[in-house]
Amino acid sequence: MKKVLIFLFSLLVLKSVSAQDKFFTKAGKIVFDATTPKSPENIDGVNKTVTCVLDTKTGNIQFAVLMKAFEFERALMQEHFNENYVESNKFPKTDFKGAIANATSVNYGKEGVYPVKVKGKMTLHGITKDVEADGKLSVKGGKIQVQSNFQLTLSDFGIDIPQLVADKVAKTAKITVDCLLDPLK
Amino acid sequence: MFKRKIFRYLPLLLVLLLAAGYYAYHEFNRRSSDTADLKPAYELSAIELIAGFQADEKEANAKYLGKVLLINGTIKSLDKDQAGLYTLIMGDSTSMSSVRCSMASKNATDPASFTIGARLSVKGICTGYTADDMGLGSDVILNRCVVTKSPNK
Repeated sequence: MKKVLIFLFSLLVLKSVSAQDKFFTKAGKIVFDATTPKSPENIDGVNKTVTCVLDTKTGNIQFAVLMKAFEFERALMQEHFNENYVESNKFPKTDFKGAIANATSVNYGKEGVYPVKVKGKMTLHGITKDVEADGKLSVKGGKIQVQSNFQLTLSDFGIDIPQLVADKVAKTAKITVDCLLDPLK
Repeated sequence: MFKRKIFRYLPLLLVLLLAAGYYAYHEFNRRSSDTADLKPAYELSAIELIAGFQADEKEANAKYLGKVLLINGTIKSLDKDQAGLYTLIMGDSTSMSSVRCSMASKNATDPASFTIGARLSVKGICTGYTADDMGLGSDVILNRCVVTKSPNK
């Protein structure tokens, strides 16, 4: 009887450990910034409904970003972003599937800030490319914060800046990622 | 002769230029409208909306993407992000799939006062669908949401 109880208890422990492997959010934040020194104003939009899943066991990390969820201060800018640049009606979602290259250097059991390099494939505007970015993982209070700043060359993804506004819209956008992940229960 | 014609049309030209200038200025500074003032393109239940996307994502995107939707349903849960903005999660409580309504502002009707399981109507802009390929259930996302009908407790 005792053995059965120990077996059942260890099963329970195992289950809870495996469930804690994955961390996620559906309310992550990504800022897209294509401002240049010659832009008459800031060209930036924020998306606050980003889905992100991190598997701490494998180091795999995945993002799903709905393009229509980017909000710009000016409605006209938001319309141009959706209609002329990312064509969000045709390509509503951007995906990233990758892994932490230096996964072994992160100790999820110990609170701290860990620099990471993420490599993977991003599909934006219907085009899939290899992307890598530096970032950091902050382990604190049972949660993991994923933060990164990287540059994205828009023409790599078939997004062309019209000649008329070529010096006012950056050809390389700054992307800022900030996602606070909760354990998946 | 030509000069006289120009003078005759000058006021009209000026009016046209001023109108074009005003239009350009107004367009440039235009902000997104308050969702409360927008007329919904479709009114349906949260469960119907999810089912629509699950049945045919492409067709549902063509129909709902970027449109103002009025969604009736039950509150499954509430999320609060780092900035203090609420997301109302609506749909069938026995299913992992939901309609996630990201509220327009912190000043919108305080979602914290809502009871889980209460029914209500929410208006928002449909920004798309995340299929269940990450093991998190599938979600239809609505942005800039406002509550149009308070919950029936």
